[in-house]
Amino acid sequence: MKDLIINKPYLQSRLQKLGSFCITVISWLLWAYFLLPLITLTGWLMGVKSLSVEVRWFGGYKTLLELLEMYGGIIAGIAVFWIGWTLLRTCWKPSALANLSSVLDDQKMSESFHVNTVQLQQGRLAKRITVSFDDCGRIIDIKNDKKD
Amino acid sequence: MLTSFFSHPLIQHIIDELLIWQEWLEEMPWEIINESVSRFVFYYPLLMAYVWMIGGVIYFFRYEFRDKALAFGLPVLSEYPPVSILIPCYNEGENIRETIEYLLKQEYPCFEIIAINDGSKDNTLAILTDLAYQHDKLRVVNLATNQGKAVGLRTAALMANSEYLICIDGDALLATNAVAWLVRHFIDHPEVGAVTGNPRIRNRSTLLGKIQVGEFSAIVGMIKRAQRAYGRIFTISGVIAAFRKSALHDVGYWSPDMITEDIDISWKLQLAGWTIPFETNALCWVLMPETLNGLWKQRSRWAQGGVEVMLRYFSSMFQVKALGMWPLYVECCISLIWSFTILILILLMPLQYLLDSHQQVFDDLTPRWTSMLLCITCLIQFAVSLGIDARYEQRSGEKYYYWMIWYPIVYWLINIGTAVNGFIKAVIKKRGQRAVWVTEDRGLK
Repeated sequence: MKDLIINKPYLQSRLQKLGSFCITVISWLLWAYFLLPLITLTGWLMGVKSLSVEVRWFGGYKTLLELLEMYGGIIAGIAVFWIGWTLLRTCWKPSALANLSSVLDDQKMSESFHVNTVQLQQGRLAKRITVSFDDCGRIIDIKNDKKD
Repeated sequence: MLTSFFSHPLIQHIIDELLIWQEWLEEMPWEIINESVSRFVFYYPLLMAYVWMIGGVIYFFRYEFRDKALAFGLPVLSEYPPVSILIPCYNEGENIRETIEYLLKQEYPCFEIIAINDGSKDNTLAILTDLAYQHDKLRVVNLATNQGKAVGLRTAALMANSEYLICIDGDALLATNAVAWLVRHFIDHPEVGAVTGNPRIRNRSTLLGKIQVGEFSAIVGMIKRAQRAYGRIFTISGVIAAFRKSALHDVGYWSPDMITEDIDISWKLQLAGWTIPFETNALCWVLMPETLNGLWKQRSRWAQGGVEVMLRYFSSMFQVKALGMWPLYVECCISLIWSFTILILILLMPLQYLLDSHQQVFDDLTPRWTSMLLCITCLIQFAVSLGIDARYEQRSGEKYYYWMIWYPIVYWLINIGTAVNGFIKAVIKKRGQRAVWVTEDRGLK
């Protein structure tokens, strides 16, 4: 039995290793690029006044506050919807399905799959069976395989 | 000669039409359209990230938080009804022995295993036969010719001795307590038609493998939790799901002509009024692709399956029972539109570069507060989802958070392509065409 977790990086080809390295570098650069406004803003809020030009370039502090206000409103709206929906679901229970009363027996299954009930019961007892089909995927034969 | 060519009535008509079009295009409010498209592209993933996140957190506190002490044990049930575990196999010679030997360790008291050999070309049947004569619990259903996974499962359902069926893939390892966790939903809730389990990735040797660990434990799990908190799910996990046989019979079992039989059966059951819970404690260890080509094929198939279901059940959506499925349907459609929009924008970029001033194109790419907030949302989403999921795999949170941050870059790009590719394949697919097995990349072993 192999281990549950398979972690064998040494099995990678050179191309895979190179590809992973390139993606990692590009991804870090992209993350740094998109998080640049956050770093700049942090610096500016901590008193590095020379960063005020960059803060204006990213859209300005006032715009950020407006955006945060809008985001906050949207997130609060989503949360209210979810909580409301959850409460509604807690109070409301699904009604029982009408078809639950019908018990599924071998007769019904045999009719549905167009197989003989006796053949079906024998098949269920067999250790190995071979099933043959027509072109439409319908069962045409169930053969009980005997041990060689 | 040139004068006579232009004075020809047909040419004159074409020129008039072109001038009308030009005028119409000039009058279009391009700025508003451009702004609306940009907002849609930006705000849709942002909005959905919070919808999934809040839904996932609600699910966690409602269903998982209280069960914390139980997570790794065996649930105590009022009864232990017999269960049939079905394993459809096609060319699984390499994995099937391990899968079955692991299954035989199940702690559940009463179960049988039915392995379905779907006309494999390798030694799968020989291995299964050998195992069947060694272990009383194992039976083999050999399909004389290759029929596809759906027909294999239908046949096994017919041959199963139990009302409750658990389906796993031929290369998956089911946790030893998983059956009991799945079955508990059927005992107390007669409206439950199926239960979906919690797949975990086994292979983590490559960057793609590591990202998928994070994706499955966090993103997929969180979306499923949020969908369950809502009340409906888009799909069960085909690799680990349990079914009530009478519910399957009620909806006509799995469809042989759908490329992803798991998405199809989920919609069939829910449209008929059955419910599908998500059992996070039912862990199943699976192998996933670790090459871009394998991943592309797998995701294209999933995308195609989703679109096939959208097309097939469109008319059923207008029934009263289908009311609850509308949000999932609409979300799937918007996701597709989003993927197409992104693709069109990417394709139009060079054109924009040629038409606009170069400065403006680069200005559009400079980071702003909005892109910063999107990145922060991404990081929060990963942190929340990995935090919720951490109990199922110790130290998965801190270990895979580092890899997870590549997810948007690697996966969104792949998913945009596969969504478009899958959509086209689903639309041009011949109606009624049988789905066939695909030999997927199972990573480095």
